[in-house]
Amino acid sequence: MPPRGADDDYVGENEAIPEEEEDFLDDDDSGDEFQNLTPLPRLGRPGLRAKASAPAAQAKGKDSTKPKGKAKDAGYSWEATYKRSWDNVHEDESGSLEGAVRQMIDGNKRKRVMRDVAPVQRGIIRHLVLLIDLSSSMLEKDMRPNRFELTLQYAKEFVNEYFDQNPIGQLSIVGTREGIAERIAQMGGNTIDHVSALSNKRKLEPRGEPSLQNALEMARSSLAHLPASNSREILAIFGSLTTCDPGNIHDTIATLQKDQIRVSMVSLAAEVKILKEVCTKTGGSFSVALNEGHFRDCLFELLPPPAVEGPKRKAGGQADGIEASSVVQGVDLLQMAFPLRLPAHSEPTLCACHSKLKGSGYLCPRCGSKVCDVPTDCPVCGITIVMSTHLARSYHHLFPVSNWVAVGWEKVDEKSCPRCFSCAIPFPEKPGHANAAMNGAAAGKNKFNGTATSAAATSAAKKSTGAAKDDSGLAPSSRYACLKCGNHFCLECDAFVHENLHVCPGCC
Amino acid sequence: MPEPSKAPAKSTDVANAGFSHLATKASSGQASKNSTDFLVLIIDVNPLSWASNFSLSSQASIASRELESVLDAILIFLNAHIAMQHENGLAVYAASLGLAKLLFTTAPFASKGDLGGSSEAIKSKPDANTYQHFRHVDNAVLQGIRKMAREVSEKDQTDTASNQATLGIVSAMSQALCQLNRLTMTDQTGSEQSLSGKTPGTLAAKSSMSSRILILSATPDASTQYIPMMNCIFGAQKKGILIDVCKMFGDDTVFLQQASHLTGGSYFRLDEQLGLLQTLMSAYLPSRSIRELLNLPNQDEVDFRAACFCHRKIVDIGYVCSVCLSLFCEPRPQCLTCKSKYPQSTLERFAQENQNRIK
Ligand SMILES: [Zn+2]
Ligand SMILES: [Zn+2]
Ligand SMILES: [Zn+2]
Ligand SMILES: [Zn+2]
Ligand SMILES: [Zn+2]
Ligand SMILES: [Zn+2]
Repeated sequence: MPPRGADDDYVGENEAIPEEEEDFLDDDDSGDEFQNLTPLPRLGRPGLRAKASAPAAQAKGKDSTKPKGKAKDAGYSWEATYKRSWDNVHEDESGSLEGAVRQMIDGNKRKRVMRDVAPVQRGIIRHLVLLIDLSSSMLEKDMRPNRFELTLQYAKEFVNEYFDQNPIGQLSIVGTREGIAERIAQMGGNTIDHVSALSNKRKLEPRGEPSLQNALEMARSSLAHLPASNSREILAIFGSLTTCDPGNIHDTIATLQKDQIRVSMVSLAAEVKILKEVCTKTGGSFSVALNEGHFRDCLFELLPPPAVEGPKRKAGGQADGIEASSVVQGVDLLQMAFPLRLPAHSEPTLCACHSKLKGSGYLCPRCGSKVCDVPTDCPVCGITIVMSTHLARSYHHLFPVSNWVAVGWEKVDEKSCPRCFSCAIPFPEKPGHANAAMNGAAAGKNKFNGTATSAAATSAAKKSTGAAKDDSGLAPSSRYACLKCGNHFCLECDAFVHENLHVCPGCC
Repeated sequence: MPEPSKAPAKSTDVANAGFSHLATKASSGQASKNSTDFLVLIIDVNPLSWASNFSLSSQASIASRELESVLDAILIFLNAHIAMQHENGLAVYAASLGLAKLLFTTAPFASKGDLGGSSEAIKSKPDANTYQHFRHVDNAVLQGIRKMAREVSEKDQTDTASNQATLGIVSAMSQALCQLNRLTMTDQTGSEQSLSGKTPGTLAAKSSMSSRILILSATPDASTQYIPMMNCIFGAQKKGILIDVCKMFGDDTVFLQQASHLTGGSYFRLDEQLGLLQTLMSAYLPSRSIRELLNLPNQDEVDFRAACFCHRKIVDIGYVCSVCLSLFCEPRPQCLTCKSKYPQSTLERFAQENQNRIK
């Protein structure tokens, strides 16, 4: 591993870079890029090592011209051109980087907001197996404090966030070490159980070699029997570059395909062919974590429920005619029970799930047995027990708020509201148009003027998408317009509404 | 966008212009005080429900007189809230048919430009007999509601029945949540002010802000608002914001009952109009830190049962579309909402199960 000093050195050599930038580089996603290269030498493949060290050497050298000749084979991420993130940062006239850094932060926000809003069918009823590598390679310290600790921490966050976004989904956790797979948490919908299982570090101590095949088979066994309407997924966090398998992994891939289980992986070390193949063949995604932040992003990308069209497309490829007439795969009618909630002060009875004496609980309306927590499957009669609020929590995936468009300066006139519709922060004034825009009298009237104005604003906003916005999607006027109601919002509200609230304040 | 980074600092000064002694005190004394309370009040002024509630007494003017007495009670409550602690924040929204409006806010970043009537309030002569800050609030709220009443009546004449179905409550809630989001965000990061080198000390102290929303509700539920309302509730829940509901008159609203239950707030149904002020002062004035010690009114049973989409019938065991999560009381071959067709095998299985149970 190149010592931490390496990039400090580099920054130090280049005297033109002011002090704040060094801080910025340390936090930046790609600033630590050569750290990914560390596991490579252990591969014991001299060819690769030579290739890998080349970009690093170039980056380290004082040579300021671009590294050349690396772009043509983009198959592996370590072979790609070394991107120097500091080239994107430009000082403004006063020599300050504040504007540039802010632009990047805002751009990131906007990017997250612009994510998928297309109305697709989603597998709301998810079953996911979180597969964690517990081999000795997880003790590697290329991610701080080490891969293992970081993985557990992110896994806990992932579990919490997963149940928040997929309230009627279920999750189980499988680990692999010393050539075998072991179940860490049973398939279930209880956040607390899963998090406490992940908190027990001593029990999860990494050692030995992992076995991808054993782990996948164990995960498959807990998913294969589920009805077709449930989306079945495996998410693997893999730190090792090797796997110790008892049989042919391609057979496992074939059965995974047959059972329509989607495997996604986040590799902490490097791109490994077999790992990638498992993912691509089963319709999942594969990513290599560049650093701590990127690792988190890779995991959290898999939080929203997946679109259902994956398996549908596959089926269509084989038999187009049948698909058109008959039922689309993954669509089903499910029986669900809405339980009676017992208040905490009712008489204590035994629960069917843990056999504990408790006052509070929920009664299964079909068989009358008591369970501690919902959503769950009734341990006696097997029906899915949910509350109406669990269903309601998923509605925002199905009816998302449409993306807001960036508004250019030319669309802003005296009629536009001078402040954000929802948080009332004042927008910057139009340049060269100074105090006119602040005249509240004209602006206040516009907002409730009914359909005529909002229609005009809609068409205006539509036009502006092409012309006014720059490639980052940021609006020069700091305004973002909802196409439905025509109101203008600030960037902060844009992010909040699309990520948390899922309601346009102007439309309801 | 370089502009907004400077704007908040500027508007803070504007906001505190009338009472700069408060502003300085707030920044120095904040470290010792551990809880500042930001209250968002949403007043339902839907003319239809106000009119229908008081039409029994067969006098047209009585509704407006009632509204005025309610507003008096509200203003006393708001003044009391401000007087409790210097740092207490306040925002007032009025919700009517299809629109919701911010009447007053102490949020430092918000523009004061066209908030209902506050500009006129500042212009008016200071009255030696009233505390200036109280006066700002009172004027802003009263004039804002008047202005809104005018707008609503104008709107009624221009486009009738187009926007009647939607209520402003959800819009007000979502706007309030956006504002609270920005408020907590500027508190936590404080990046904007610290970058421009302004008083970094106040920022860390402010992050202990606790916020709540109080809804004075008059209008019954509108079923079209279910999804946006639930989204607002979950948004508030995630942010740790309490939603209190005081039902002034009319039938109980199940949605708002759920809102207060899910966010840990309290729902109170007012039996007697005259009791409004007392209820507000005794139940909703105490800050969140004190509330833990109080035994506030809360409802024991909240109706969380689900109603089917086809007949609005309450169901125990329902059938749910796996694509859109629509709920039906009986198996059907096609979804009413998303038109998905269900596999024949599933339908047969359900039919058989039902037969078995009848036997
Ligand atoms: Zn139990
Ligand atoms: Zn049961
Ligand atoms: Zn805003
Ligand atoms: Zn809108
Ligand atoms: Zn029905
Ligand atoms: Zn449907």
